[in-house]
Amino acid sequence: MHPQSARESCSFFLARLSAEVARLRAQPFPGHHIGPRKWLNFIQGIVDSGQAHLEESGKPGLSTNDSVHLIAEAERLGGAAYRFMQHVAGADASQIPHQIVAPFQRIVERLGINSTIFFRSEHLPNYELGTYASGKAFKTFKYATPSLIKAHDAIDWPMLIVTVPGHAMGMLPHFAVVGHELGHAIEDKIKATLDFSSKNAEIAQCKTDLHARFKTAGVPIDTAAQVKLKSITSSWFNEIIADAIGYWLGGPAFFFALCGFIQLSTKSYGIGQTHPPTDLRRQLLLQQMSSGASSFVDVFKNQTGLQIAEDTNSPGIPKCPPSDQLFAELVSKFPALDAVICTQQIEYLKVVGPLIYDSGRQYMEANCPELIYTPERLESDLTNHLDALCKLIPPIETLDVNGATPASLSTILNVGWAALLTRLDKLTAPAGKSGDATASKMERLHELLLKATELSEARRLWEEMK
Amino acid sequence: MSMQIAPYKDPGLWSVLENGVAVLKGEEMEDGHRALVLECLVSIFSEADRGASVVAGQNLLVMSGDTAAIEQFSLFFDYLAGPLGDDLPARLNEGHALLKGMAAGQVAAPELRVRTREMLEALLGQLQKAAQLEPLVPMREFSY
Repeated sequence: MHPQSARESCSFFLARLSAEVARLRAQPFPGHHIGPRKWLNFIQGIVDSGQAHLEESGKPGLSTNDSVHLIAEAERLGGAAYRFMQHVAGADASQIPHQIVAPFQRIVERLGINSTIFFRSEHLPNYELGTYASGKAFKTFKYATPSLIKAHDAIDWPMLIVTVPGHAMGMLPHFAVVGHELGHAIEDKIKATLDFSSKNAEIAQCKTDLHARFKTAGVPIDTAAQVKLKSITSSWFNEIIADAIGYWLGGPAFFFALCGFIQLSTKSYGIGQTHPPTDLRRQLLLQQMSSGASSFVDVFKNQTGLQIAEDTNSPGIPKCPPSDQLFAELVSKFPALDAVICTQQIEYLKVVGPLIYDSGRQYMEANCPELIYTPERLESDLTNHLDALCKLIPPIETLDVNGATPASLSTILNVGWAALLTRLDKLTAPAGKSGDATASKMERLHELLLKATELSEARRLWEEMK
Repeated sequence: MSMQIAPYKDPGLWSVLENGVAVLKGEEMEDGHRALVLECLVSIFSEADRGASVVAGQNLLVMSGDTAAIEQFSLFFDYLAGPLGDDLPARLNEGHALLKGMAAGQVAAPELRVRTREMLEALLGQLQKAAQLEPLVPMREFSY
């Protein structure tokens, strides 16, 4: 073995990584957000540690095997740094509207999310929350550098990275989906409060039906099946918890944003190991929006004339067929084990879904009641802002018994959705623009809502400074 | 989405496992470093041990922390179910107790140290094998 050439090659790789980290550090991040910088410092620490392993590998007296082993570790560290760096792409100020960062950071803190977080965009039809929890393991390297230790300790783990779609799908009202991703960040806290005891009989029936499906499909319930069952169930729970938090934060805006986004991005059932079918999620959301004496659906109808239905802005989302047909469709493409679990857990989620929403609300009532968006708030917001927005007056502040207060992001998003769905014809078109008039109006609406977000945040900061 | 990289590509996991083997062999190590390695190992085994219980449970309620526990159990199940079979949950439980005791300063029975060390070595061997068997990234095709 000749370690020298491998060492030199790795050294060049690590030097290039350092240069790339330096370039990324020099760029501005929206809202002076420190999350990306902390992540970059961590990456630089990993690169430095890789370099330290490399230097050790060249020391005299070391056996060739030990030298090769250290080079391999340096290469693995460089590889990890390279992969981690891709998460910073799209986090700079040219990709993320700077206006949204501070309001989202405010929601993050009030929800009790203590992790270091940042936002980034990607040219993919995808919203997601990335988590990285294993940072501490990097400190166990024999030649972990002080820069790595310091960068690690500056991060509140797990590191969270919220990805949103890039420009074309980045219309402000759609950002209500971010509430779902923030819900993922507190899913374990909600799970700790789940109580399904009121539905024991229905759950027992679900279990019976599940076992029957296993039997008829000829799939053994062994450890592998149990791992898959718990894993899928856990993932599906997480999605409903995240939907619940998105809903309690954003009300109808979340419903429209989630359904509208999925309508644009896929025509599938949405069912799989990680997600329950989209039409089930949509049903659960509408169920919540329709409940209560004066529900969101009632208020929206009274204020705008639009009766919200399941497919109001998502007619293209296909409905899952009945369970036997769904199973036949799934098993033709996926392993029978997956098909059994995905088919049967739909009924289970129909039973426990509303209880998960209740737990989400209870968490927010206990920790951040001011963030819960209510039908009363919607009524006030639409009364005060919808017509004004059509006259190009952005919703910057709201009037209530306490006087004028800066508009919340939820207010801005809901007024935006109401305008988008019911008042676009009344919105003044920008003068002198050629091309699609509707698209121009939507672009104008987007700009007005961004302006509202920026000015309401400025007002909030000003009040905090007083 | 989890940004966790594949176990066989995760330098942090490699480091914890390799250092863990050294600790269980009784190799010399600076006290703080040894404590950190044991802390990471206890965390891994604790979650995996709990994951084994979650998986064995007959209820459909998924509780706080279950996702992480199942993921950690899956790490061992995916790579060691073959060699350890039905003994896996018991071995995880045994390893967890041993490492927790060592982290608390207790003297561990030599045969238990050997058993847990062999488990870590087996896992490292399987990770090595997985790394060797990973296919190259296929060429991307952009024709629509």
